[in-house]
Amino acid sequence: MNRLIKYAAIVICLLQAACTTVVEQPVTKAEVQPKPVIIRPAQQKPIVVKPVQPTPPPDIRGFRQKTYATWYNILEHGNSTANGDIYDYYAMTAAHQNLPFGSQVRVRNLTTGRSIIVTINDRQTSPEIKLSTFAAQQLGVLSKAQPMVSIEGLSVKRAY
Amino acid sequence: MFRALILLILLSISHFAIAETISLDSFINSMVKEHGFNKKKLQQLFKKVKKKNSILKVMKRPGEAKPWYEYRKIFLTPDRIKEGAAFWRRHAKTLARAEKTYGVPVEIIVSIIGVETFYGKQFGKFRVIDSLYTLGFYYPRRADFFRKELKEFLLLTREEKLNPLKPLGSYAGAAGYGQFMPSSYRNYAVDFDHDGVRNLWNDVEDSIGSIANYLRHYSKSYGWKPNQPVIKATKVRSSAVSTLLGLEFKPQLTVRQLKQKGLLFATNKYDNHLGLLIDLKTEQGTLYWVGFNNFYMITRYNKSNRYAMAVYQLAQAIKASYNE
Repeated sequence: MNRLIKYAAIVICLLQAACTTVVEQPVTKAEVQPKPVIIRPAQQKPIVVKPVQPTPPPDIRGFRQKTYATWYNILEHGNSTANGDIYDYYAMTAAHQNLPFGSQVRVRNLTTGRSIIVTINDRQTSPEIKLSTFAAQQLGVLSKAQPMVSIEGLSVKRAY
Repeated sequence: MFRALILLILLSISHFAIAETISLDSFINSMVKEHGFNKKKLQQLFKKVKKKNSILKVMKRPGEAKPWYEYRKIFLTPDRIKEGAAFWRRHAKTLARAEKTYGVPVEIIVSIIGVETFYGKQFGKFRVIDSLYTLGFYYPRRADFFRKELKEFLLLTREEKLNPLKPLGSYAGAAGYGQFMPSSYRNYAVDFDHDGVRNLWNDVEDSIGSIANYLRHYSKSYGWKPNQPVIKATKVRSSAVSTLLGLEFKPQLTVRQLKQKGLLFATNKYDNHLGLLIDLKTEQGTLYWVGFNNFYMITRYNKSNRYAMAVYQLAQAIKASYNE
């Protein structure tokens, strides 16, 4: 108990001293046991302070890219995505190589001019944008061979 | 022998022919006995009520057997999405107040109004009393249900001091923006604009509040739970599909228990939530979801997975359009 209070005091001190650079220790199973949370020097990962309000989407205004569109396989419905969501056939979401999760982008079919808005919630290694099956259908690219699209980052003012 | 048979048939035919008048009489008598209505006045009222054959014809049509991917196209149209966002802007204050009071998200309320009546454009043109009378006395399969609603309608119009011949509604007797049946009206309608009457036929504020109240306070055991998920995609072990779909249609098992029965759900986040396995046909085959308590609440509006999914997806689309 004493130990716990001591550690809590250390945590508070550290928080006050280095408010933005405190490391959030990933909690593994071993650490959940009697040992209290260990604070490591503040060089590894910056802490992500979870606000009470939902995070606004990242501001990626000005982002532009021309690429091919691909889409999820039907068998991926129900899989975890890289940000911890669950992939849904009908969700207006997409996987992208490096755009931050929660980014909203307008994807335009360069053959027809049609466009949709999707939220990035998954990762992939190749530079194409990978759309949910339904988003691909809405955009009119489903089953097309290497459909060319443009991606445009949207501003933060849209509610997420 | 043969003659006796014919006689019997004739007798039974004439019996059917008079069945209606007998039961209307007994219906009126029970309204007099149990609810203190004036017999003469009720008899006079029912002289002005009409049997609508067009309603019986509609009921004979084969039910909506459309697969989900066809069904969703009826409701998820660009017009219904755009007008949903416009309805939201028009009634933003009332909708926000309903969300705050009952915890039901604005987009769900708007979507229900959109699916039910296209935001008040399709209220139905039948007199409610004609519909309920026709189905209560000439539609044997569900006559008991509709006679009960007819009783509720007479009680309702008496309580709200309305002329029972006036209100219009769908062919099934549902009325107003939210298409409430008379019994739901009596149990769940609220005077959300505080003008002293609960008016679901003309008053959009009362309708908005009443829909949210219905979802929130449906029963002792079930009601809308604020800030909880509606539905999430899942996989399921193929050998477990029929067991999981065969469970009673009520969220009684937790996700953890469903997993023990073969649900392959990608996260532990919702293990303590009650859920149901939902299957829907897409263009590319059947897919599965976990419907949570709030999904079940939407089915209390209309007991159909396709209906509840249409309401949910339209709600998401309206929200995206409103924010854009």
